[in-house]
Order: sequence, then structure tokens, then C-alpha cells
Amino acid sequence: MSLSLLARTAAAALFLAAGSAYAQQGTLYLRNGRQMDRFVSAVAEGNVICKIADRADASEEMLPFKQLAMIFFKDGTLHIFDPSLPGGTRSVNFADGKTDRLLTVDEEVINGAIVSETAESVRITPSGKTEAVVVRLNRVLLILRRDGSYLLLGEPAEVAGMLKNAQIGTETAAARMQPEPAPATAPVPDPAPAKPAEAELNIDFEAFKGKAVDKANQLYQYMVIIANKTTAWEDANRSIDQAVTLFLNEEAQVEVSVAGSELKQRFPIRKYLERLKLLKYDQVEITWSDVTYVSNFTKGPDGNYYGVVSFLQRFTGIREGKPVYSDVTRKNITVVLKSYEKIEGGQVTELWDVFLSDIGVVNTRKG
Amino acid sequence: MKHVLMLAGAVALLAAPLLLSAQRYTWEEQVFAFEVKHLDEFVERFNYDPETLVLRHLRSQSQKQLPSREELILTLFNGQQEWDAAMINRFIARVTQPGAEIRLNLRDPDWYAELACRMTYRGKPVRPVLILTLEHQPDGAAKWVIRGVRAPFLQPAPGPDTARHLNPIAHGTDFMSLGTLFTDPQNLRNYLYGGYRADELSAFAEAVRNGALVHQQVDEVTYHLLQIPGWMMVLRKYYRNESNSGWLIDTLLPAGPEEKSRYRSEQLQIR
Repeated sequence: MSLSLLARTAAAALFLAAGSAYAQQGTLYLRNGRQMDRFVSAVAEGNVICKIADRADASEEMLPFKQLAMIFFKDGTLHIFDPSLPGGTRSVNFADGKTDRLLTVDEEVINGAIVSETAESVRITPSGKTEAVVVRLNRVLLILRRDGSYLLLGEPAEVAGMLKNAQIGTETAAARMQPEPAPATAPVPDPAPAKPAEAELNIDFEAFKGKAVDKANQLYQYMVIIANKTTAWEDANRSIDQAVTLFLNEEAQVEVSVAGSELKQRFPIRKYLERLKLLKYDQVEITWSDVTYVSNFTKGPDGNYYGVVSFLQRFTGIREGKPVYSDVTRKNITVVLKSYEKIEGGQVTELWDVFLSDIGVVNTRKG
Repeated sequence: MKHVLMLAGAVALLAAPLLLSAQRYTWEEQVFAFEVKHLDEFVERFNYDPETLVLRHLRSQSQKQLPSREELILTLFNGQQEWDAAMINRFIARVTQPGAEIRLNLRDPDWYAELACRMTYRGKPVRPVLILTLEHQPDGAAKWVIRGVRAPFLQPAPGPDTARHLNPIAHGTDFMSLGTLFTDPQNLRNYLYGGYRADELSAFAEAVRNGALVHQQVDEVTYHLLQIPGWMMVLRKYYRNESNSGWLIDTLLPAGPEEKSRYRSEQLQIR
């Protein structure tokens, strides 16, 4: 076992020992401004492992710290992510039952007791004072209430930057989740070898090529559901959520170009799927070719392996029973083979999975 | 005329099964199978990789006679332009020479991607060209890196005030007026020697860093392959509804070390 794997195992054991505080639902705020409710199972080793909260069959997704600004848990635990923090994150519980806190645009944290809140202002008696002050909400970035609830008014990334060193509660065990140095008495493992060659990793690249095609096909299935006008709105939304979990993260972009045309359009994956949901056809038909090209995987400097899957897609929009628009597009989907750790019975196993990432869509022919 | 017949033959070679299997696949699917969709696929076909999509596709249709490597390489040329058939023959003979075959590898040195980009520089639309290369690490990892930039708009323009310069007798005062340069950056170019050319890659990096240069999109990609001894080729992408499409050889030239060195310096801005 390599030194790094030992360290990760130790970190995971610490994580489990810290209790189930993180095996709960949280609201994730991404640096790009997105907000997601997820069931979080791990916050460690630079990644947050989570899945869609209300679906037992949802697959896990892994979000690197660098994409995250904050996670709020219902028990008042707040994870703050910032590259300048040791280990990239800090965890604080602000639900002490005694103190409310306001973070203002002046980067000031006002501790005290909230007297009242309106749509325009909050009235708080600062700690050590007897008279309440009124702070207008347009001066407030975040309210942390003593019962663990909160109100986020500022940009998540900006707020995270302001809170990274602020005294806003009790540091929690999560702060210890970073790998700790091995005790002096621990057996010294063999020096970690240089990065293993691809063959030594024992990754079945051919199998993952097949899995990449499977995931692309799953995306296609979701797209059919999302675009179908007979799909209920909630089901379409759920399919969007599920489709997004196929991707490495929500920063995946879809770039649409038309052969012979100059300008390209680019959308984050969720927005692209939402646009698909809103297409104004009575019915749409989407078919993908059986012929698929899958490139070999190439290792990137981050240790992930990258490849591309290409499909042909035919789209037909139907109104009043007649096809009114059709096109044939080539979809080039970046696929990323990424390792992750599965914690089961206190054991950490390093596994690999393939995720979808950026998609290039080339519209070569309109029907 | 020979070159036309030769390329027509190569195209027909792929078009025949395309027609034969029309019942099983749509025309678009057939074209898609034969199109050279990615550079990786170009390399696979050039190397006659038995698992490359087009050969698998032909096998799946019980194609009795698969194309030879020579024929498959021939299909990698753009069939809609004039070619020197003798030169193509020499090239194919060289890369398929028994016992000394040449195959391409994405880990080869000396090949580059040229990206014609659309950006804004200080709010104005500009069209810089970036030259990228795959940089490989000892552990087998690789990443694309920017190796050169063609961005004339990053060269400092002559200062608007020609009166601002170090006068020819500045030495008389031990160049005490040198300080004017630092308070008058608009006229910086007037203080530099006539043949000065900014290193555009450094200027590009600085413009990105200070937010002056904003990316919009990549308009076009071209690949320059200089790794085959004695030859260089340029690949461009052709979208068209026929089997001879995708990433195809647009330019093939015999080129020795000197020609390649000049090409790197002048065409690719690699110094």
C-alpha cells in the first residue's frame, strides 16, 4: 500500500470516527453561483462525495473543493472552502443556541441576538450591548441564526472568502479530516513509488470505453425524456438532475456550432438541458447513431484519464403532427476516467469511474 | 490525371461498402463511420490500427477485402484538391516501407495544433492565433500547452507623440531624461530600438493575466505534423456529406531539417 493510500485510509478512518455529522443533507453553494441540495457522504481529500438527496438510486458524484464555496448542513454545520485554508476547507458549527451572527458588506461579523427580521432589515442586539441596532438587508451578506438556519444574500464565493478566518462558531471535527502525520511508532511503509505506469494501474481501459458509451447513451435517454412534451414537468426536472450526475461536475459546457457559421453558443450542461425542456414543439424525436467512435484514454497531469466519444444525433421537432425542423449533429463528448474512494466498513477502496464532461455539438446539416 | 484517378479510387473504395450497407445504416451513419472524426482517428488510420472504427465497421459488414494500409492512407488525403501523385506515391512508399514503416504517435515530438481564435483585446475584437503542443511528463501524463502566439495587436504601437524620445544629446546630461519614459508609457515604443519585436507569447500571457484579453471561441483548428523525417503535412477538417471527410491531409511537403526549422519559426512562431 502506498504512503498516500495509507494517509487517505487514515483520513477516512478519522472521518468515520468523527461520526455521522456529514452523512446528511446539505445545501452546496458552488463558486459559479449554483446551489444544489445533496446528501453528502464525505468531505475529504480535496473532494466532496454526494448524491441527489431524495433519490436512493442516484449515483454518487464527486465535486472537487475548488468548485465549492460553502456547504450548509441542517444542524448548523458550515463548511467553508478556500484554497488558502489548510487542506482547502474549514468546518464550523454556528448553531450554539445562544448567538445569531450577521456578516456585513464591510466584512464585519456582528454577534448578538436577533430581535426581528423584515424583508428590508434585521434588528439585532449586539453582544455586550443593551440597545438593538437595525441593519438594512442590502448591507448584509449572510445571517447565521442560533438555531442553525441561515439566510445567504451575498455571492457564495465572496462570502466564503470573508468567512475563511472569521470567528463564527465552534470548529468541528471535520477540520481534522485532513490526513494527519503517521505516529512515530507506526511502521514505515516502503517509499511510495514514482507514479505507476498505466499498465501497473490495472485499469481495464477497454471496459471503461464501453462504460463511457453507456453513460453517453444514458444521457441520450434522459434527453429524450426531457425533450418529450408528454413528460410531466417534475419528471423532466428530475431527469435533468439525473442527467447532470453523469457529468464530472456542472461546469461541463456544451458548445454548439453550425458548420459554415461563425459564432458558437456555449451553455453549462444544466442550462443546455433546461433549454431542451423548453423547446416549443408538440413532440420531438431524438435518435443517436449505433456507430460510435471512442478514442483511447490519455492520462492528464491531474491523474485522470481523458478520452472522447463521438455520436451522430438526429433531431426532429414536430408540430401539429408534421416535422417542422430537423437536423443532424455530431456530438463529441469528453469523457473523464477518475479515481474515487469508496468507504465501506471503515475500509477505503480506490475505484475508477467514468464521467461525461464538455460536449462539442457540430450541426452539419439542417433538414 | 493519375492523382485524380488514384484519389477517386480511394474514395470509391470506401464508398462501395457505404452503398452496400445502406439498408442497415442511414447515409449519415455511413458517412459518420468513414469520416475522420478526430486527430486520434487520423493517427489510427495512418497506422493501420486494426481496431480503428472504419476497419471494424467494414469487418462488421462482412467486407471481403479490407483496404491495405497504402489505400487507407490514401483516403486520408483531401480528395477535392489537386495533388502531385508522384509525391504522394513517394510519401506512402516511404511510410509503408517494409521493415522501416513509419507510424504516428500522439507522444511524438514536433507536431502542433494551430487555433484561430476570436477574442477581444481591451474591448475590441481581435483574431489571435495560438500554437499548442502536447507536453508530456515522465509519468505518462500529458497536457496541451500554448507554445506560440501570433497576435500582432500585442506589439507596442509607435507613440502618439513623436516629440517624446531620448534626444540625441541625452548623453550630455548622463541620460537624466530617461525618467520621462516611465511617466509616459503611451510613448514607450519611441524609446525602443527600431527593430524591436515583443515576444508575443509573453505579451499574450501578460494580457491574459491583466484581463485585457478575453477569449470568445476557437474558430478553426489546423494540425501541423513535422515529425516524419523528410516530410511535413498539414491537416484540416472538412465537413461534407461524403466518406472523404473529417480531418484530412490538406498539405504534404517534402521538408528537411532546415525547411522545418524555418516553418516552425515563421509559420508557427516557435522560437
